Amino acid sequence: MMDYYSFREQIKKKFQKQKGFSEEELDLLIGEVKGEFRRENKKTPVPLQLHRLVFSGTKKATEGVTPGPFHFDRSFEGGVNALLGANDTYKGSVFNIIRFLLTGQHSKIKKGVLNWLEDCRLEFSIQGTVYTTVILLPEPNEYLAGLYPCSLDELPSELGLVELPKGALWIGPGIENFQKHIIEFFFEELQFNPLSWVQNTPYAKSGSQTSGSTTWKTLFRSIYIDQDSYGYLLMDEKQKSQETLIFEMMLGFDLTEAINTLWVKLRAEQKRYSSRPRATKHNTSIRGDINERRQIVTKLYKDLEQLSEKAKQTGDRDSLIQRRNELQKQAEKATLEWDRLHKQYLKESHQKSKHEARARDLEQQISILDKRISEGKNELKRLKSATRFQVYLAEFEPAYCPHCQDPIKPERKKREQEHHNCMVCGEDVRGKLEPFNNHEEVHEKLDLLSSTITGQNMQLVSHRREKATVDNQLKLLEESLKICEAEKMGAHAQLNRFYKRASELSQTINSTAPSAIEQERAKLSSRIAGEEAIIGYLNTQLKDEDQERDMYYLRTQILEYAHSLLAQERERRSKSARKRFEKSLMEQFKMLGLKSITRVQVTTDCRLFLTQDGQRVTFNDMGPFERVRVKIVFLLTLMALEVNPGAGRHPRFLMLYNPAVGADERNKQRMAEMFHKIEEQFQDKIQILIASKDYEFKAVAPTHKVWSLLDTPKAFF
Amino acid sequence: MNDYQRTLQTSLRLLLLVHAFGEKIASNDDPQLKAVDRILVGSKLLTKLDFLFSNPDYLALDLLQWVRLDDSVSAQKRRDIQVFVQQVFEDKEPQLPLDLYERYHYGPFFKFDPALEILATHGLLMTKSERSVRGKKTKTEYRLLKNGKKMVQKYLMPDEELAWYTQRLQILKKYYQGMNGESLTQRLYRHCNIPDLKHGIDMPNCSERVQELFQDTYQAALI
Repeated sequence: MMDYYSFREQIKKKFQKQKGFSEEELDLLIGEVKGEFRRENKKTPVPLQLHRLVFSGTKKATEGVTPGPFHFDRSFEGGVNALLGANDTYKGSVFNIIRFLLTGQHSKIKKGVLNWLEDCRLEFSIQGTVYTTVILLPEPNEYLAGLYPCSLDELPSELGLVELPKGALWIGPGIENFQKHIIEFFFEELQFNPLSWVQNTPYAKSGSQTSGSTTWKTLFRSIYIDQDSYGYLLMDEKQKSQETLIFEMMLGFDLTEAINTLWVKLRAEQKRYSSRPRATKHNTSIRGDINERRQIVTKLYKDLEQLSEKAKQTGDRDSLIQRRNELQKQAEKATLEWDRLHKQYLKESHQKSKHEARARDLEQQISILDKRISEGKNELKRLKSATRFQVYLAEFEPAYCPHCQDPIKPERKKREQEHHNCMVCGEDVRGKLEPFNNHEEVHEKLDLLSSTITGQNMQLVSHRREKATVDNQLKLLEESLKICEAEKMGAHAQLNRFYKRASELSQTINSTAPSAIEQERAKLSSRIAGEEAIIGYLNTQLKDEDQERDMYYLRTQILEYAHSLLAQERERRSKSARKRFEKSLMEQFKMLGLKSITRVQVTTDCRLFLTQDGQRVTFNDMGPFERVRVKIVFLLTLMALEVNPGAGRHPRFLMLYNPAVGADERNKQRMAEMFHKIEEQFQDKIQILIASKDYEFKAVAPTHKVWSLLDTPKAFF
Repeated sequence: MNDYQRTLQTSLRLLLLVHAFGEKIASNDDPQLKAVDRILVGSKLLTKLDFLFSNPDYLALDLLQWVRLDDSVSAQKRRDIQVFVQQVFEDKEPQLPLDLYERYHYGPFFKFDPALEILATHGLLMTKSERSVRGKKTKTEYRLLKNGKKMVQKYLMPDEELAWYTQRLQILKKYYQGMNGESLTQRLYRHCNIPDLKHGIDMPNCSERVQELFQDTYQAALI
């Protein structure tokens, strides 16, 4: 598994040779994602569950409505809860009031119902902590809202329409205020802040994570599903480009946040660069300005020259000044020449010392080789002599005991060789009576020694040659150094002469008053200096522009490469979770009767593809009713993924309005069976609220969780 | 070179030395001397001669000291010695002594029994020692047998590869012929700084001393 350091190292290796690259810059670009490598699935999903909804008001007299007060009070439990009722039983209004209390959005509530409402309350829990939202509507379009960290029962049951009880997390008038606070509240509590990253525009502008104002609204699209949202998977056409990113987030695979962080950074970088003043235009104007100023400077120089000529003709103080200036220029030139000679001198001295060191080294090596060769030669001489002697010795057969020197007769010799002892003195004669027979070994040794000496000799010759070359170079360098030194001294004497003469002239000039020409020349010189300073500054600007462009390309390349590396790593890490999701989704499709879908594929960049009737399609390619079923199955699978392998990020809460819309009896039955199975399988781990007019849903959950008004003409309130 | 080859070299030197410095014996009826050609008496003499043979730096030192201390040395000999010492140093002979001698009571010592054993085994040279009542050797004779003479004259002397040995032997004969063991020991003791050396150490290389002496004597440097 790749860790942050190997990830950083790979990027560094790829870009370190590029101009402008620095490790600080790299850390600024990718350092933010370091934490993502350490904490795997660190943001544990937090389940949201509704407990109780209470609202009340007074119905006003309209067509078909009996005026008078009403009071709605209903508790919800974990698993599947259903509100079943025919058309016009206000089941949609109940759903919309829940949405109103969770998001502050009331546009979907029928106007008539909104005018009747006076007091709405919703108790819910996040990860077991209970909260209650209260909205009072004293007058149409007047709102007073608050959020309490307690259950509904802990609040007074009767509230005046003017003031809310104390102890709220926040309280205030106005529905916009409520919306702002509820977004921040859910942002903190549900820990889905990664979703804010997908909203790159606010981030790019402010760089703040909490500025994602549509975050909660975005997530709510995967919670609240009605006819309007059955047509798309997660985001409608307007925000289609965000869908894949939201899907990635909801899958909750490792490194997804890191990938999106880099993506947002890349977009921000591109925006920042494209929104700066148009480089080419800007550069063109700067270049034009520089050209104009150069022309001015050229003209000023010409004027200055003319003035100098004039001064020469007048022959007074001006000519003295000019002469002094010329002398000063000559002195500067001589100084430069002296500098050049000095540098040359240093360079050659350095070369000389290098050659000297090499000569010393060679000398040492030559002496070592010399010694080795003479040692070798002596050794060879001695070895040869020993060998010759050994050969001659073989002419005289061993015939005496080496110790007692008693002659050994042939008949005794064999026996003595066997017993290794002289029969007279007992001396050990082992090996001493053997004739010489190791010619080959000795010759090999001699050859080896000879070839070693030959090799050393060749090395010696090469060293001597090199030494001769080095000595020659040294000689040349010494001569060159002598010449250089003489030239240096000459240049020094010359520059001293120039400076001395210039100083004498200065003294004479100082003792006389300045002329009009001189004043004019001073002015011109000052203008030239000013123009040249501006040209210098403009050139720097041009350079800055180029540098900025290079840095932009480098930064975007780094971010793109880092993004691709992380995508590959996520693919590796999430392979099994992705396969589980695909398998689970496929099983749900089969259960719901979507037999035409034969294959599900979630690509490495988190896009969903289905194979329907042998064709690879996306969600948008499917028919309207199929979309409803696919969407429900998709969301249920996301929830299941979150509950079982703990990979997803869905808050485990769904509100489905008329899920079986347009389905035939068989499919309605199948859908109901599916919800029933979910109820049995997950129980308290998830919560689904269904509003439907279909009888098939009566058995989706135990009777106390199904509120059915299908068989009565009554409304829910 | 291995130990055996070193020993062979020593045998070669000893054989040549006994041949060069031994006294020829007249025909004798003694059956023990029937096969003997010549005899060199005294292990001291043979040891010191071999020391000079195998350590060219000490040979040069001894000759230079002799030139320096003995005014009776002729001008010709002085010149010959100058040429000889220069040659020794040009050939870099002192860099590789043939055998390492040890500083003993009155000078350098080297145990060459194994070398003598080789010569005896092949019937080239025999040793005969006379011992005192206490068993101490009092006199040692090195007897060159007829085979030894044949070996030297037929094989060793005509061999070009062994020219260095015969030439060096000529030098030794030229300057040390007629000296006995005692007088040679005394001379080396005096000339070769023996008193300055510790007992039991290997005789050190004395090239630097030779160079100094050469400079003093001939006002010229050795390479």
